[in-house]
Amino acid sequence: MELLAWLLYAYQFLVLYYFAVLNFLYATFALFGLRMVARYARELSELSLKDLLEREAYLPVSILVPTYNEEKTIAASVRSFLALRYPEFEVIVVCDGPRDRTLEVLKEAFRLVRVDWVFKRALPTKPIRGVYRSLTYPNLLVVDKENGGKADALNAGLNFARYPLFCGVDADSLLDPEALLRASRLFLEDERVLAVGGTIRPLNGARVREGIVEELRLPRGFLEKMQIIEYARAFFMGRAGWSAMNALLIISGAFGLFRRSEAIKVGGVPHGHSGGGHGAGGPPPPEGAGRGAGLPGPLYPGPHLLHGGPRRLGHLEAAAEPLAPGPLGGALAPPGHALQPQVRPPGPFGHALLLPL
Amino acid sequence: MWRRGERLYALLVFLVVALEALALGGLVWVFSGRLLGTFDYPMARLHLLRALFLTALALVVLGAYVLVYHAYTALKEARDKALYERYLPAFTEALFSGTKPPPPPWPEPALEALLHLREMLKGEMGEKVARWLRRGRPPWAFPLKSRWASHPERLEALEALGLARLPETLEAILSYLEHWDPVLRRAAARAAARVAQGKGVLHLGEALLKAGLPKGALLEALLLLGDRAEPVVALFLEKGGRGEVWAALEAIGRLHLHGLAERVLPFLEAEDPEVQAAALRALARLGYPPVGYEDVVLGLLRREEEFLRVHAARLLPLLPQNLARRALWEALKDPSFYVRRAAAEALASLDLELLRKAAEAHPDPYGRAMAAQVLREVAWNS
Repeated sequence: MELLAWLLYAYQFLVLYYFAVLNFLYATFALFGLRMVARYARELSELSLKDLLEREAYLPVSILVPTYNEEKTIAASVRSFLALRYPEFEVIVVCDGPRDRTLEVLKEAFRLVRVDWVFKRALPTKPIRGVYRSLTYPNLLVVDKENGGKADALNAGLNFARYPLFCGVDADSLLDPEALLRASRLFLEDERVLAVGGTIRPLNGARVREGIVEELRLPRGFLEKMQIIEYARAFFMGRAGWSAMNALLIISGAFGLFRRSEAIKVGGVPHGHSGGGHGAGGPPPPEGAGRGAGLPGPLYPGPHLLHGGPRRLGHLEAAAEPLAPGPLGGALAPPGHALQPQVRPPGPFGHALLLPL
Repeated sequence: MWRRGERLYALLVFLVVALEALALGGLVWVFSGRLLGTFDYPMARLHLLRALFLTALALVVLGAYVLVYHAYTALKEARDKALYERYLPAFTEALFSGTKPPPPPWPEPALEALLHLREMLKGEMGEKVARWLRRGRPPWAFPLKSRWASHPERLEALEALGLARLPETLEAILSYLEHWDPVLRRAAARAAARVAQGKGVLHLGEALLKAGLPKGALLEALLLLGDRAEPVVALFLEKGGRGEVWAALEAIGRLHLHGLAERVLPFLEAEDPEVQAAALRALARLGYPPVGYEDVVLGLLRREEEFLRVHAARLLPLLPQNLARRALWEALKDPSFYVRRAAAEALASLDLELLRKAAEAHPDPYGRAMAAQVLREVAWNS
């Protein structure tokens, strides 16, 4: 009996010790993270974004939207991507062998016509069944392929992408109109940046019309409120703290901007990877985020961005230097022929910094 | 947007969580003592209650602060908005009717309104706003000189000075190009590029040479200089390292600095392939034929670096037409998808008939397919 009491006591001791250490870590992360948020709020100011646009110093972006059985949300999501405030981008929707009417909905909503398309199969994927272009949106391309999972769909999108940066998004997510501008700015400022992520907020409670977020509000339900708090903690304290220490390991699958050539160099997204918050594949989800798929409502990648510098990660040393955006200056970036073994998904490209609205 | 009081907020969050960690640490210590028989039960209970009290107190303080913070900032924002809306029409009216502006001292929102006017208006009107800004004695130079200002305050000040475009503030901004923090150095480069006038432009160029900024940031500074960039670009070409030369070549093309086109040509033979690629891009953007360097451009088509072959193919239409046609036909056989693509696009701009022929009869099946694809796109876009 005494032994049992002692064991229970020791257990309590362990629990206390665990929480003491955890809280100390949270405190440290809060200090680093909030400092980072305050600083990046100034660095990515309205003026710096305006200059980026007016001086045409931006890098064009390919938005990759892997989708599977999303007939109800796909048209609104694609509309929101097409409405982004960015001067040069293309949207590539990859229908990953859907069993519902996803492709038909897209055909009707965007007046798609089938076209012959020559592309470089830089990454192996399941066979492509057809390529469609929109009669109303010249920068929209829809790829229909056999089902292979989100990673396979992203790799297929990468094969079709034309621009030096690509942005992986979930088909049930909405992007802040300035998300791309803010994220892409960091690639311009530092050629070592390989990947930029964003903060994600559940849309529950927000007022959305035609894929545009008109007003952010708190949801009514207790659990949904807690989810928003947990997302905020995960991104503003957890991620921001990690990023301040140059130690961020992942970028959310719901919104991440990468250098295309570097992603192809490491073999694209490894097959079988679970992927971001809601979709069928991609980089691993953030702690506390993404796994909330059970709760209703899409994710809303906010304006807070993550910024990665690869130099501190050994396996990307080789990828950092020669394929900086320079050589192609905003046009086609040739992927390297010598593919490295698949190290990890695009997420671990580098550390990150959290950026606020 | 992030608001005032943030440092206190961050500190408070840290203190509260640290206090909780401390309380839990204390409990660990006391419970360990109890386990080893050092503390008796009443002592352990006392410590447990103290820990609970401390945690509750910390949470109450944080909660109260958050509520007060939000109430205060909401109030302040409403007041600032009202002031801004009062001053902006007053300044605009004074500007256009020639009457006197409201007398200083002006509150912060009034200065913000002036900054917005300064950003919008050029020429004489802009200068008038600049004179008013000087009269208003804006406080932005202080955080730059203060030892105690935070990084966000310095960033804010640099941005405001960039908007104000007061040439006399250039020296204060330039000193930040030597700052240890690259974020402040980049912000200073942007602000200085907006502010620099006359001789200040060359000062900025010299400071940028020593700033050790990444080439993207250098390019942005040059683009912000716009029509004032030429002396800085020339300086970079003459004295710059790899990054500066790359940025200068990019800027020549993007800003269409035709006066410097001749100086781009020697860089086609540079040792660094990225500099060579930048030179190719600059010439292509300017539409400047590489006279005397035709063999060099054709030689670049045989280089190992794929991106060099891509840019060389894009420049080929500026070579003598027969030479260009032959070279582009050959480039359609290139093993690289991207070089074939560039060659087909270049052929489309040079000779659409030859592209049609390539789509039907080019000996390389991949070249044929690429020519057909580009032909379809031309038809689609037209």
